[in-house]
Amino acid sequence: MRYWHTSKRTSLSSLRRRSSVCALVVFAVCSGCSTIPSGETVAAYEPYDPHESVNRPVYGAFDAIDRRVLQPVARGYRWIMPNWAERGVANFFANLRDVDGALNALLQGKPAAAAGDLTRVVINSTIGIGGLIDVASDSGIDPSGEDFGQTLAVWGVTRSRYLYLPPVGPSTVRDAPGQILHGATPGLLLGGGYVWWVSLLDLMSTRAEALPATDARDAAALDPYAFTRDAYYQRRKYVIYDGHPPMDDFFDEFDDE
Amino acid sequence: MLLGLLLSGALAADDEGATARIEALHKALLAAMQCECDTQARAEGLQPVVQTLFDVNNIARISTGRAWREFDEAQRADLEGALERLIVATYADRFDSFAGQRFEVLSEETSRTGAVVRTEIVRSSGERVPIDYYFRGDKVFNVVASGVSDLSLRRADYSSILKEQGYGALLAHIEENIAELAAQAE
Repeated sequence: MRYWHTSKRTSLSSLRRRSSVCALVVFAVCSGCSTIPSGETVAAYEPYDPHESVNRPVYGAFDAIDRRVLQPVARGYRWIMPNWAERGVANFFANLRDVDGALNALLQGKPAAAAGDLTRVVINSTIGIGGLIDVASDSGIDPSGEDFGQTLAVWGVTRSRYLYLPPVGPSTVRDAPGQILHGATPGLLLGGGYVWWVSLLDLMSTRAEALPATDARDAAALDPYAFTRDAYYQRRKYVIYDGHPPMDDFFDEFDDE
Repeated sequence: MLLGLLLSGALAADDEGATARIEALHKALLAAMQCECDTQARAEGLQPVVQTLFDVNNIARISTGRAWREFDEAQRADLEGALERLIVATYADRFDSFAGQRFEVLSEETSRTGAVVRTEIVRSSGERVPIDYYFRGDKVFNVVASGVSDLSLRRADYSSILKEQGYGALLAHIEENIAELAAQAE
């Protein structure tokens, strides 16, 4: 779940204004408290959750809504939609978000990845019929998957406090502004063509895509909150290192043998 | 003569490298996916390969952290047994149908604790899921899928239950989890 959305009809300008205000507020919070207080040592990219007493109940409350509303709707969506249509909707939004990927690849000094993302947008928006078909991936041009949280990490914000942020889901103070912008990207790019129900479609598609991951969590986790948090930090470290994080061989665990 | 054959078989198994052991796991997983059988039968088919491949002692020790030192021998053995059955049940649940997936071994590297075998599951859509196996000696103590370490996840998952409810609750939760996996796949 990577979304903020509104189900009310909103004018484009207010949508834009709201998203940028949101981003600014979170960014201000981010710069204020993303540093770890002196005296505390938290390894870079390790889970850090000083606000667990708030995060845990928020997770519990949103999880109850998710199970009662979002999950059944997402399962219904999967059931109704033929595979090709489901893929098409996901591709359509992913195509718009490649613009965000390109921008952040550039901000991280990865011009080749940025060019790849832009090439994808051009190919998929034209040959791929407005982004419905991911022709670029089939031709071997994969998305960079960069976002603003990764950009901040590359710029030095390696450690960040955990935030459970409905309806975005797991986040950190560093990642939240990027996630909000990422969620708002289709609306910002489509301009006047953006209508309210597109947000709902986007939300359903995103939730449906996340079903395998949350089903795996439900099948395996004894403490779903801690499970989600650890998985989130690990996954973020992996994408920040573009899939090549330093090897964690648990060497210290074998010290006392 | 029979003893000789058994011994040579055992020696051959000891000589196997990490890559060969992972290839044996891949073969067992493919067989589990392709077999027209129920979860119970799939689990029974996977059990021997899980038993020889996974280092449940170190998995149990590392995932329970400091609490491990407080457990007596019987508790440790019960936990290791439960974890082994959980790994089998998880594999039997996740690899229950075949849709053209392929397993590829990419490389074998050396870390400070032993070999690391890097593999990918290639789905028929072309999507690739990287899975790395971390060895200590000839056994696997950690599996990292798309950057998410199973051992780290397990440790995070067990930590607060151990701290707040203790050993008995952890074991009960794991047993419950195994039962759920078996029931849900039926």
